[in-house]
Amino acid sequence: MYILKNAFLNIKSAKGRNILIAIIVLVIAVSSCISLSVKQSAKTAEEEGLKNLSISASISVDRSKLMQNAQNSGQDARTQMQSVQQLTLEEMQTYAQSESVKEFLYTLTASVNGFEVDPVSDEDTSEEETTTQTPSDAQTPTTPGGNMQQDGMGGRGNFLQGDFSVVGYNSYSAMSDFVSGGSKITSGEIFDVTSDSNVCVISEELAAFNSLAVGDTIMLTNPDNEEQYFTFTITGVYSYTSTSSSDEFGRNFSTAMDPANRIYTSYTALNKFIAYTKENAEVTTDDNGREQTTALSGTTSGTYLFASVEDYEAFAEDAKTMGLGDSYTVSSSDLSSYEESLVPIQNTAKFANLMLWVVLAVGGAILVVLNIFNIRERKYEVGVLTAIGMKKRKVATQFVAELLAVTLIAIVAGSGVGAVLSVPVSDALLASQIEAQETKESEQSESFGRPGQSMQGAGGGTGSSQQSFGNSAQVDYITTLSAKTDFWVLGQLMAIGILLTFFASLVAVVFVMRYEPLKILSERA
Amino acid sequence: MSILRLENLSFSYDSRVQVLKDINYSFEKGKVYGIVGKSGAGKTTLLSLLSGLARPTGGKIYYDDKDITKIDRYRYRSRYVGVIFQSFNLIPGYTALRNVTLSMDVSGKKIPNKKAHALEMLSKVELNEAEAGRKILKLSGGEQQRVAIARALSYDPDIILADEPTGNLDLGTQEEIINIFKRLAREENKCVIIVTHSPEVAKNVDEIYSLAPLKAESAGKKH
Repeated sequence: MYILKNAFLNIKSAKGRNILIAIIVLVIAVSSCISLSVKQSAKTAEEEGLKNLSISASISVDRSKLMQNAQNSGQDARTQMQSVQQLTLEEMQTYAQSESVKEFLYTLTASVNGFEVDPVSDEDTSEEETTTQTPSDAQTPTTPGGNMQQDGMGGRGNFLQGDFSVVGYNSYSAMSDFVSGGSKITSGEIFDVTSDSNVCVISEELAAFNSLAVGDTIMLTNPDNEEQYFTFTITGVYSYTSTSSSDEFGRNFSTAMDPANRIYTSYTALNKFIAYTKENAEVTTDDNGREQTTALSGTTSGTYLFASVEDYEAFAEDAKTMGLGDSYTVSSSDLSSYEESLVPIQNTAKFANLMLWVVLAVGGAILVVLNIFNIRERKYEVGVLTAIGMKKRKVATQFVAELLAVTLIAIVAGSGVGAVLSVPVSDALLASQIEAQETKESEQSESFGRPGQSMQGAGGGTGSSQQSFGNSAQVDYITTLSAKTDFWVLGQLMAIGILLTFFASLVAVVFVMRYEPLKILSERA
Repeated sequence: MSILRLENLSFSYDSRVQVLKDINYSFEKGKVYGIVGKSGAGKTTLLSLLSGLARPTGGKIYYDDKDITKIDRYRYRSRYVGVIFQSFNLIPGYTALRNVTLSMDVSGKKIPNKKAHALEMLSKVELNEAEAGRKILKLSGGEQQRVAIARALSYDPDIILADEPTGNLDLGTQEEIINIFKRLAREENKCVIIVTHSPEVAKNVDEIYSLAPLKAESAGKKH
C-alpha cells in the first residue's frame, strides 16, 4: 500500500517529468483514439451497410468459363457459346424455389416498331419508311443499329432492331427505376402488372414528340412483319432522370436504347404479343443453313432478391444442387457495386491502421527512451530505497505504478480529445479518399475517350446485355463515417496504454534489478 | 549475550584484493562500540558487511545467533539494523519527515500513527516540526545527519551502525551526536557500532576494535 502512496507522492513532486510523459502519451492516445474510431466506424459502416443491403442477383451464361473451356479443349469459342442457351423463365422459376430466395422478379424485353408513332431521336426520321408504313406495307426497317441481336445469345431468332424497347414486368418490385425514384409517373397512373390488358406507360419525351396523352392508344408492330401489331392504351406518362453513361451510349447507338423510347407494360401483355407473332411466324433458312424467323423475340431477365449476403451465397450453392450447369454463373451487381462503394472507406481504415502502428512504434520508442533517462536520473533514489531494505521488485512496482497512473490519466484525457477530433478527421480522410478514387475513375474514363463519365460496369464480361449496356450505375460512395469512440475503442485504448506502460516499464524493471545499492551509494560518496 | 558476532570474517574485492581477514568480533546490546583504523583498513567495508549490503567472501556474521546470509537481506536491513551512512543517503526530493516515515513503511513493522512517531524521532535528534517538513536539500549537514539518525531509529532496530557520523560536523554538533548514541545504548538498550577515525568519538565509546590495513597481501597471492 505504501508503494502506491509513495508513487502518488512522487508523481506530485516530479511534475515536470510527469507532464512530459503525459504529453507524449496524450499524443499517442489522441492519434490511437482517432485511428481506432475510424477503423471501428469503417467496420460498423461496412457491416451495417451489408446488413441493410437488399441483394439482387441473376443467373447468366458464364462466357469467360466457356471461352476458357474452348481454349482448353481446342474447340471453337463460338460453337461453345452457341451450345449454351439462356435460361428459360421456367428454369429460372425452378431455382427461385430455393429457400434462400426472398422474391423472384422477371421482365420481358422486346424491340418493336410503331405505327404512326415516331421514336424520340435527334435525327430527322420523318422521311424514313419504317415510321410511315402501314402495317400492311411491311418492309425491312432501316432504323439505326439494325441487325442487332436481341436474345442475348447471338442466337437464331429475330435479328432486326426496332425503334422502341418494350419492357414487360411481372411485379411492381421489378420496376427498379420507379422503385428507386429514378422514374416517376407525372400523368395518369401505372398499369396493373397482373393484368393481361394491353396497357402501357410512356416517357414524357415520347408523349410530347408524338402529341400523345393518357388514354390515347399506340400501335406497336413486329419489325420483321409489320402486319403483326398490338394496340396499347397509355395509362400513364412518366419522367425519368438518367445519369447513366450507358444511356448516352445507347442513345447514340439505337433509338430503342434511348430511355425516352422505353415503353413499360405488364409481362403478360408483352408475352401475349410475342406469342401471337410466334404463332404466325414465317420460318426460312438462309444460305448458311440457319433458320430465320419473323417471330418477335423477347429477352427474359430474372432477378432473385435476397435478404442477406449469406442467403445470396447459399443460393449459388442451392442452384448448383438443383441442377444449374457449370456453364452458368450467379452474379450480383448490387454486391459488386456495394463492394466498390466501400473502397474509399476501406482505404481510410487501412490508412488509420497504418497511422496507429506508426504512432505506437514512434510513441512507444520515445516513451521507452524517456523512461530510460528517468530511471538513470533516479538511480540514486533506487540505491537509497534498496539500501534501507526496500525490495527491488517493490521499487520496480512503484516506478511502474507511477508510469501507469500518468499513462492512464493521459489516455483518459486523450480519449476525450480523440473522440471529439475523430469525427472531423475521419470525414476529412474519407473525403480525400473519395476524391482520390473519383480522380482515378475520371482518369480511367478519359483513357477510354469518355471524359466525365463513369466506366463502372461498362466491362461486365459475364453479365447480361442489360448490365453491359443499360445499367452502369454510378457508385454511391459512403461519404460520412460518423466515427464514434465507443466502449470497444476505449477498451482497446486502455489495452494500448497498459501495453505501452508494460514495455516502457520493462526497461525500468531491468534497470532496477541490475542496480546494486552498495555500488550506487559508493559512487555517490 | 552478543546480538552480532563475526566469525573468521574475510572479504576481498573481485576475489583478489583482500580487505578483511579472519575478523572475530562480538557486539552486545546496551553498549557503544568503536571501530577504528587508518584509511584503507576496511572500516567502511566492515560496516557494509554488518549492514548486509555486501556478502562476506569468508567466515560468518551471526545476528542473534542466526547466520545473516540465511536471513532475507532486505528484511535484515529494513528491520534489524539501522544504518547512518557517512554521506547520509537521504532522498533529496523528500522532506525529512517523509524520509523517516518511508523507512517505517519499508520495515513492515506495525507502528501506530507513523507521522507522530516520525516527528517524535526527529524531536529526539532535536529537529522541530518545521524542519521536519523541509526537503533534505534545504537542511544543513548537521540537520541531515540528525534526519539520518532519526530514520535509523524510526523502526526500532536492535543495532545502529554509523559510518563516520561526526565527520562532517563541527565540534559542538559532534558532541550532541555522540550523546544521542550513548543515550540510545544506555536508555534504549541498542547496540551502537560507530566506524570512525575521530579520537574524540573513540574516547566516548565503551569498546574499541582496531583494524589495520593488510600488508600488501591479496587473497590470491602466493607466499
